Amino acid sequence: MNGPLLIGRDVRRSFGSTVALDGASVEIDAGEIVAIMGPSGSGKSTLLHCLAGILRPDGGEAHYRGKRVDLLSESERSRLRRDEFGFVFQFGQLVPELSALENVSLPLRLGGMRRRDAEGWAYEWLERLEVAALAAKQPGELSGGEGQRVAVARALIGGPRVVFADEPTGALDSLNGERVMTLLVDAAHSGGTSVVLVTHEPRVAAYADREVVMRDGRVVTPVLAS
Amino acid sequence: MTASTLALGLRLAVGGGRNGVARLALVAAGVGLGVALLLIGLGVGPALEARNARELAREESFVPRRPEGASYLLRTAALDRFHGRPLLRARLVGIGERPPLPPGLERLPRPGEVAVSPALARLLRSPEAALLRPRIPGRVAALVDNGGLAWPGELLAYGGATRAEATAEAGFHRVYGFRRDAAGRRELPVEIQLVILLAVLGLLVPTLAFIAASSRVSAAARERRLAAMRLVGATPGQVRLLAAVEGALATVVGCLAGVALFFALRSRAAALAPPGHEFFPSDLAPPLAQAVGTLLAIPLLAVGASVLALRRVELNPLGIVRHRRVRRAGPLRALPLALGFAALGAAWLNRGEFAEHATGGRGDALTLLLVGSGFVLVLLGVAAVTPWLSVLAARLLARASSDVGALIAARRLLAEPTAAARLVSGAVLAVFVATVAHAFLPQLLAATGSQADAVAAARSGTLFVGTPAQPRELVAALRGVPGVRTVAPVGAASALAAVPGSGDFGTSAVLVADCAVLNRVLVQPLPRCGAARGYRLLPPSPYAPATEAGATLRLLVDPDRSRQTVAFRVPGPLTPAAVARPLLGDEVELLVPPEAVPRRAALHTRIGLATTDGGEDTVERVRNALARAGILADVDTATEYLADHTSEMRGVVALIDLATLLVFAIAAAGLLVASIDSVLERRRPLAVLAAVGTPASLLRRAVVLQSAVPLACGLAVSAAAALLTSLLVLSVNGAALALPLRTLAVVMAIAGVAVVGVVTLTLPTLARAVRPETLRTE
Repeated sequence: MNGPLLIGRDVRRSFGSTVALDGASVEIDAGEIVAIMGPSGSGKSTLLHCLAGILRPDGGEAHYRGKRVDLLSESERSRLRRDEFGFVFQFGQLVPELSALENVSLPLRLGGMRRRDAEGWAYEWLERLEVAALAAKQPGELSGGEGQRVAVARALIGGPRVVFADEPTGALDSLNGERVMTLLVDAAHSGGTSVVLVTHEPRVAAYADREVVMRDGRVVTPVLAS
Repeated sequence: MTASTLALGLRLAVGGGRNGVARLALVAAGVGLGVALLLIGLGVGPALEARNARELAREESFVPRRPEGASYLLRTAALDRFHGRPLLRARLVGIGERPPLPPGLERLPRPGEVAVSPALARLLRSPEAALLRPRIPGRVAALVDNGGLAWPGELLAYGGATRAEATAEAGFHRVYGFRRDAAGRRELPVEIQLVILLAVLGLLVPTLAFIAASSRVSAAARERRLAAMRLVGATPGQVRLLAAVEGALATVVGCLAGVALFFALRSRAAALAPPGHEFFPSDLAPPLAQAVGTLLAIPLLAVGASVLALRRVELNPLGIVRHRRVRRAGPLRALPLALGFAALGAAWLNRGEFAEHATGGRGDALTLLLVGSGFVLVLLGVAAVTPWLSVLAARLLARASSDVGALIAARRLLAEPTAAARLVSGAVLAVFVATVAHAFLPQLLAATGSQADAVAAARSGTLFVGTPAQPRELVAALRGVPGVRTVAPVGAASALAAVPGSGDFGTSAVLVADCAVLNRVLVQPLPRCGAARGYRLLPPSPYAPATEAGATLRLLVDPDRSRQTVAFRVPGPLTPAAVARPLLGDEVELLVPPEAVPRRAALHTRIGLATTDGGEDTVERVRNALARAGILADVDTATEYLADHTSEMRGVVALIDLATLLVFAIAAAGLLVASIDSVLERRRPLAVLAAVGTPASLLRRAVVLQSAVPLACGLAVSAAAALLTSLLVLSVNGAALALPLRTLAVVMAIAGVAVVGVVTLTLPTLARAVRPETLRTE
């Protein structure tokens, strides 16, 4: 496919009277790691949610591989997120009652894979992220860094084309944060996966190929992919 | 310091914005519903007592007051029916200056006037009244107030009469007062008190579990808030106080809402009782001490629960550390059930000996002990084993199901195995008791010996007329009534017989009838009808002395004078004949044809058998005709006759059904609160699951299974245990089990409705939780 993998064009989104996005535009290439930076309230997370099809923009367009994501139905967007994307959030993303292994295997099982096979793959991913020893633990028994590594494994297990990571190290100390970022970026590079990374930490943004800076709901750096 | 902490606690409890208020409202609504149900439960005993007291207050006193006999009432009364509803018709004449007034009347009705209950007044104004008016002549001059009525829908008429009428007509007697004038009140029978106590306890356990579940709503959010308080310097003591204030505030609001709900619901609750057992709303009045105790205990309980819950979490300035101490639900929980069935099994093995002793009238104490203790153990066992079964089912679901929704539900159940089971425990017990009651009902009804005969009689449209009138008066009164085909009075003669070996005389009755008449209404025809000279009725009369063929009885010539008798030689040989005792009376020993009885013997009507066209209006016309002729009579259709003999039993079963429904409602409300709370507490993970593309249907399935699995486990074990218990106990008695399939089907349908209701009401919360906005706000 030619052209950018993801395009946000003049995206607008408000929550009540609060304008979160005021015509933001961005383009992201396949395999590219892009950090969206900016101060709190600048619209970083909302732009990520609109590009990922979690939120439907009030105006503008969001494209993925040439298709208008913003025009898809709710169930089509659900399927897209499940089959094509992976997600890492700052906290609270693991199902508390399921073990680490079950949490990681969820995307494959949701896609219809047999439990035994799904858990086999999940174990491999836990090994890659160096948390295989915690496979039987539940999220409440994991430290913040361990939980984020489990979440990264879950985001990558389905072989997504894009991983959306919203402040993935926000709740971690610097050492753990760097470890998580190294594992995420290595895995993304080896699989040719794009990463859209929302952060306000320059040290985390340094892992990206390119930085996009936002202010007051707009992208203030060049829009186009390199 | 403490006052400001209290104020801060109040601020935290109510100041959480829309979400905070919603949580407070959810807790208050749950507690309110629980409190209202508890107050209604506590009011049932006083309501039965109040009704009992009003019935007692109407009882007459025949003892003259001083000055002796100066004022009294001449009164006659008939217990009648109208379209199946009991109707008490009384006629009164006041004698002297201050004759006693029946409760509920301000003055005695004058001749030509009638005072009626409000329900009867409504009936008299309805189009149906044409068939009732002939029995209640006169102008409606007053209404009987509630103090004079046993229950709101009672049909009651006090008609005025002249002294001349009272003298001329039979049945008037002197009444010198009513029991309401007597001091003291009658306590309810011990058995009824025991049933009420058990019912209140049965209601209490699930209601308290429900209230506890309600007060735990949003516990995690509260813990996060309290951890934040620790961060800004609150001491552990202050945090406990804050938790207590939050817990108390919601439950105090809930208690107040519960009191309001109680007053709003009690008229409906009073009307929910089975027909004829309704209460006045004001009867449902829990004793003040118990009500106040309940209203004080529940906030204290909530405060205790909030503070105790904090022991499971360590709130430190860096956040929350949860000490997970999952209450185990292991196979030991099956022990009471196993012991219970072992006891019932032992009773079953001993059944031959039991039957032998029972017919001898002694009973087998060991077998009765085994059955009693077995029943109680099984009852406790079904509640105890439900959490373990839920755990087994959840484990199976987690292992065997490939569905992620099932996996999430199963893991959730395994995380807190006793929580959901506790909420459904009431429903589980109620289903057990209801299933056993319905399995035993046919056996209990058959034991009255009347069902088969009455049902057979219903086929022929037969009326049973109980009256002291002479047989010929009965025939004359019913002659020409439209719809009446035949009238056959079955007479009886009172007999004196020497009690062997004592020189005393006992009284019995000799039934005088053509056996062909009786055969029309008996299921088992009398053997050798027409050929036999006399029948000895079986089972033997418990009162009358045994009589042999050839013995001489003295039959009364005048019912009021026992010295005037005529000799009657019992014909022989006597043929044994099985009859339904309730139909013919307990003191009847023999049945002989009319020509065998000396002409001088006085006959009274034992029962009049009238065959009709079967129409409902014909029954009322018969009642009107008897009233017109001044004949006191109870006229029953077969259905009414059956209902009379089984009303107590059916009333108990109806109350069990009602309690089952109520307990189901509590269980469903508990599951609903737990289900909504579970979604609210997991909003963030649920929103993330939705964000990563998890279909909403999968999350809905998880919610369904979370409620359905414990309920299904509980109901399955409860119904199976009830059927096995019924089978064993009935076989000990030598009876067969008729599967109460209808009851089981209804229970399953109610359970289905409960789960659907819980899920339907949880779905809006789930839909809100998985909205993308939750990712931003949580």
